[in-house]
Amino acid sequence: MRILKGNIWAVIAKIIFVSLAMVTLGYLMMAAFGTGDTNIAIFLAVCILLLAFTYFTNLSVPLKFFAPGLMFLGAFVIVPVVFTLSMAGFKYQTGNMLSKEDALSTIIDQGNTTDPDGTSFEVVIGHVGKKQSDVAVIIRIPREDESQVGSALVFDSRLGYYGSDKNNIAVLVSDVYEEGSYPFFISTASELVVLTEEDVEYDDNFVAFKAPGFTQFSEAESDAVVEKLPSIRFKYTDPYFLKVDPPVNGNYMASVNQAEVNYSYFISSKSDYYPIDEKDVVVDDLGQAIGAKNFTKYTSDQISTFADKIGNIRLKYAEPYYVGIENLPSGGNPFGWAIVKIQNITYDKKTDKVTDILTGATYTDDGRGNYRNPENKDDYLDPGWRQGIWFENFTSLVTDPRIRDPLVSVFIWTIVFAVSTVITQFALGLLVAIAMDKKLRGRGIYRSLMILPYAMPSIMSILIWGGMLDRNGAINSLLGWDVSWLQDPFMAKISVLLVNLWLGFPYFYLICSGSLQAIPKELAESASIDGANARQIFRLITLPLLLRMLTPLLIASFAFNFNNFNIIYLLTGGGPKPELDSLAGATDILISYTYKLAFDTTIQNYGLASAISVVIFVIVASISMYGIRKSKVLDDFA
Amino acid sequence: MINFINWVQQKSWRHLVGVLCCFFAIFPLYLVVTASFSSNQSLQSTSFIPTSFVWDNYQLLFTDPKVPFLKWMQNSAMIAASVSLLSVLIGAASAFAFSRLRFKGKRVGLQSLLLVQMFPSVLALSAIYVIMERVYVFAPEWGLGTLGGLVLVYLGGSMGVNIWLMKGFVDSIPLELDEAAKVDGASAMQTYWQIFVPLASPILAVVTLLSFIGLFNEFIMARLFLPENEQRTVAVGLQGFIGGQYAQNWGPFAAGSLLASIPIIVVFMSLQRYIIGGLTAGSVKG
Repeated sequence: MRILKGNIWAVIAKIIFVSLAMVTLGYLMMAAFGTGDTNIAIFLAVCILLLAFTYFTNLSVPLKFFAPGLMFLGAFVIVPVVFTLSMAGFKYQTGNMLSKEDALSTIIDQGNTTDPDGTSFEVVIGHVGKKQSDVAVIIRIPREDESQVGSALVFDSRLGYYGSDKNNIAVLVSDVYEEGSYPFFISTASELVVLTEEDVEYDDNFVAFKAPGFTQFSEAESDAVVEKLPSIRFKYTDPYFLKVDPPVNGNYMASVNQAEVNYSYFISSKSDYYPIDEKDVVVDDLGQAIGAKNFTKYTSDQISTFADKIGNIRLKYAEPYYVGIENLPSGGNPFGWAIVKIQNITYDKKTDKVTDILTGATYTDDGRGNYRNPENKDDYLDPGWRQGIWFENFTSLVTDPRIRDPLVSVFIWTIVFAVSTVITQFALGLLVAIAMDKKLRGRGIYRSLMILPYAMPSIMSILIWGGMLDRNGAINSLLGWDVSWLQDPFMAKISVLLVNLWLGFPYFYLICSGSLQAIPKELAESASIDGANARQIFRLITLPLLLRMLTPLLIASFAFNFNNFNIIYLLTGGGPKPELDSLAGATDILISYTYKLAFDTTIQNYGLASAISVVIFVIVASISMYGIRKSKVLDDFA
Repeated sequence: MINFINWVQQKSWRHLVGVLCCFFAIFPLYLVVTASFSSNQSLQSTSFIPTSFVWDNYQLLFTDPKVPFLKWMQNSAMIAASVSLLSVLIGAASAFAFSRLRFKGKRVGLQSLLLVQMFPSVLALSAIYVIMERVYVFAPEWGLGTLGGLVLVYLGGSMGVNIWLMKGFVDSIPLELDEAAKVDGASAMQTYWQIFVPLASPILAVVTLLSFIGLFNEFIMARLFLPENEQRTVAVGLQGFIGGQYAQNWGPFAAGSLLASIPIIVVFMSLQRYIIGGLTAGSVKG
């Protein structure tokens, strides 16, 4: 036994192998730290320590055998299982997936809207000053300058109101020198009423002071509205309008004006929003700014680095608004698109309140994973977060009829399915095993053919059965039947059992034939000497013995089929559904139903699915543990 | 004549059972074979005798650029081979330790290992998905959407999944051998590598094969974790032929299934004596 004594090569190999593993893990750990995945990094660090302690010391011999398996078990079984189990205590569903901080920051990030007018600009994107990171755009804002037409078109007028509303400020205009189209008219911001000489009363200077519908303001009333005058455009023949100047000695003069569009230019950067002088701006033919003093346009390469940051760029604008870049220049278009926005959702950390400054609504933590408006229960902010709700998911399994009713029928079918599967597979397997128990011509061929279903990858065979059982499939067409194997709720259940029988009977045949050989022949012989017939021998001796031997396997098979996801998912998908919108189908077993609940619907309810999986887990585990105890399988290990 | 009556009484029903069950067992497989040579794209046939014989379905698997069948096979084989080899190594070591070493908490450890395996793993999928999504960020070659990542995930079950099969393997090695080694001053590790593994290598091969078949069959995780057509496993890739609600191409599916299954069936059949031995040894012990 020379090889067993301190083999130097084995030690070197061990050191190299373990060190390599540790270096790899260490590299991954640093990378994980780098990307902020601290949890994973800590897990990897624990793995490295575990490896070092296990293989470079002699603290625990068994651990040397367990360490690699434990690492994988921990990472991909225990952690996910514990996570899933713990989710059963949370409201964890579509819309409530994030942590509270992430949900809040998403709410804030999305809590902006365009300004009420939907103001937007075509802009060039660049930077101000020397630093490339000082993103800025040049904004062009149109402004209407008013200019008097000629100098003579000025009318004497009186200030008052038109109609019965005193706010409907009007001027009664008299064209004393007949330079316009009509001698007398009333003009408001929205109306122009032409009058004739007969309609009005005028004074010595032919200046009208009274007209139907027009009431002249008293001196006090005039003083009250006079400061509004510069902002009012009184109607005149388009495109002209009247401007009324402040009174001189109580006389009002209305001048004919026209508007002219001019542009002001502003620079909007991350830190500042300021106007720039027109002479410092470079414009193209259409007056669009393409450059400015102290502003450098980005090259297309620089632009492309913005593609993923574009949503986060906020440039200054008149408070409380800001400018967000919506589109980057692309193709031949040198301009991007900027939109005026406002952060309407604000958060106050002290009171934990979210406020929408546009609607004035406030939202508070409703204790159910959302910020909700206390005044309007239907008004809440999306997204919400995972909120611990203790045992609510579990109690809702019993108390909420929308959850309970499908669950009860699914549960019953799960039991029926698992029990019937075990019974049919075992019965057919046993029948074949008994039939093949004697020397028989062609037994080897029978056996080889019969274990084919066991050898064939079951994914393929389940799918093939699905095609055969289709309404237009092989079974119906060969038999000339028209049976809805998979569409009728009852037939679908039969089909599932049939296919599962096909998949499983060869296994039980093999097991049973092995067990039959393990039963001592003397028992049957002595029974037959005592006058028992074959049937009695089977019923009173063989079967009880067999059942006792195979109980653990039957239980294991029950536990396996209780969670036999593949056959349901691939054969019927759980269907047919009783109604179009119901989640649970006729052949759904607990696990496929839970899978749908968690992954296959529009409102994925992980919390509820986790609660059900805890229930499944408890059922399967207790059944299996019972089986394991009974079979004393653990004693063999211990 | 007496012989014949005897035969009828003793043997005829056995043959009847045998013939009927064989028919039941191979009928779907027969259909797959005929469908794979059929020009008809449905699994519909009005007679047991094939009406057409064409190679189109096979040709499609090897020529259509949208159907990288060989790549799928290679992916499946690589994943299944690496995982089954590694997991049998890991599982055998665990089974050995549980069986032959004395340490505190052995019973509890074994029970919890079995319990953890009973959790319906399909439901832990989302958690695994999230973990692998993060792994992809810092180690793109081992994260979501890579064959390596899927291998890691599968290895999670390597300690527990085969423990039942391993039991047969551990039981088949006489206790005297490792006692003799111990007397010679061998450490537990040496006993494992130099006595157990060589002695049990045929059985280990069978366990590897069974776990290879099991991995070949895995569908849910493979579909979720490997969305790229080029990376699919053969089961996921072939399912694409018939997964569509309106376009079901049974011909190529049948051809692909046959090609994928045949190697496995052949190996299984040639090792059936060992496999059955392993199954019964692991389970049938009064």
